[in-house]
Amino acid sequence: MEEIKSVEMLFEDLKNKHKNEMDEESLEMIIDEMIFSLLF
Amino acid sequence: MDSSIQTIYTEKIDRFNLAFKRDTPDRVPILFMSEMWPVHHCGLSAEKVLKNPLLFYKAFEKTFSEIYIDGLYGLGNLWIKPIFDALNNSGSYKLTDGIVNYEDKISCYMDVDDYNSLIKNPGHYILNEFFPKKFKVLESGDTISAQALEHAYNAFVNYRQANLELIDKTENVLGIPIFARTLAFSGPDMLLDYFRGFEGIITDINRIPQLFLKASSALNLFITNIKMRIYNTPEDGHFILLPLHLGSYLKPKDFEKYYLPFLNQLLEMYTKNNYTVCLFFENDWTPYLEYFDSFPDGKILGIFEYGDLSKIKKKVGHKICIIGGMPISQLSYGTKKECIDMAKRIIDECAPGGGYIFSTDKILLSLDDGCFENIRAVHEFVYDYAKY
Repeated sequence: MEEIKSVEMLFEDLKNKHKNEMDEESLEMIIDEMIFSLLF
Repeated sequence: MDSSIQTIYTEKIDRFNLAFKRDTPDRVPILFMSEMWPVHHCGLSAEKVLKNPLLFYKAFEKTFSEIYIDGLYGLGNLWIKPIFDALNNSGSYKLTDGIVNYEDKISCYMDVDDYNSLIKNPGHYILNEFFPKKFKVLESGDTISAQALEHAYNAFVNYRQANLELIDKTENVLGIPIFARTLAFSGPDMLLDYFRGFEGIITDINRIPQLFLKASSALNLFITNIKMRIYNTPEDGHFILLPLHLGSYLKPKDFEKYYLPFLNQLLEMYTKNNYTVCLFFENDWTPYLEYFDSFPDGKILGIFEYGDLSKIKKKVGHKICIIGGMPISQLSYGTKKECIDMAKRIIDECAPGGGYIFSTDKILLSLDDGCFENIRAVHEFVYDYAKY
């Protein structure tokens, strides 16, 4: 059965998936900006 | 950056920096505030340039070869729609000429019962309670949710890249600074804009004031920490843009209690860390000018939409650098002579003593917001006339 994840966990998975594309700080920054833009 | 462009860029930045410090530059800097105006001026549509960011740059290149400017305030919410599309959300915002604006009533998914959760941990509340309500596709937390979030991430990365490229080319090829490095909000404004809507927030202030105050405080710290992570190296000549919404709708007595402390806290946190903050005073702030004396010392700027700018400068010019003055209604409907006469009066009244930046009173959105010939004539006049 598929695990049901919180949005926080989905974002963690997203970070792990993209962690090799850039340094950790840049990725954290992009995710922060994305979360802010989703508030609009 | 080419050395001749570097010289032009540096001159413009230095001009603004002196004005930001409420000092006197070589002449009054001219700030251009627009979103899609240059695009339409070049006969392009929002749809076209949002599909091809290079066309947006071309519109800047043509427009600012015809109209003299010293800098652009920022870019606006460009390229953001695909992020919402990826999360199947089409109900909480309104697309106006390619720009995303939120829809007050239907975009506020927070209930009164959610206050305690938001106060306890704003980040946790936003991610795990607010987003699943706003974006139904995230509610199930399954593979479909993960795929939607992945699509939204890719759309966001594209959006970010398009923004960075437009900023990079405008600054490095045209030599025109773009000042806003990030957008921030105060806690009360976040509650109004994103969570509770106007009706909700006014009711909350009256019925559950303590929860409103605690939530505003929690959001103030939460958003400032995020913004200082995103824009972690304050630069001279660039600012954090802080639009102000709720304040001017409150009675002065309520303003003092429910808005001013949070605005002052933000200003203190940013200026203490050497950031320049540009407050966008939306609506008429004339009744609240006396409170500006409580602002901390630092590089604080204010764009004013309404009010007599000359009186505003006299009253608060010792605390903040004043931006604005030229009514877009005049630029739209006045004759060239009337516009130049108006610009002369504004310069004569606001420029003495420095700490003043010439601009429009509102952002130029559609082509109707300002006649090209009038804008060009006014900027040529200010360039020649407003020398110290």
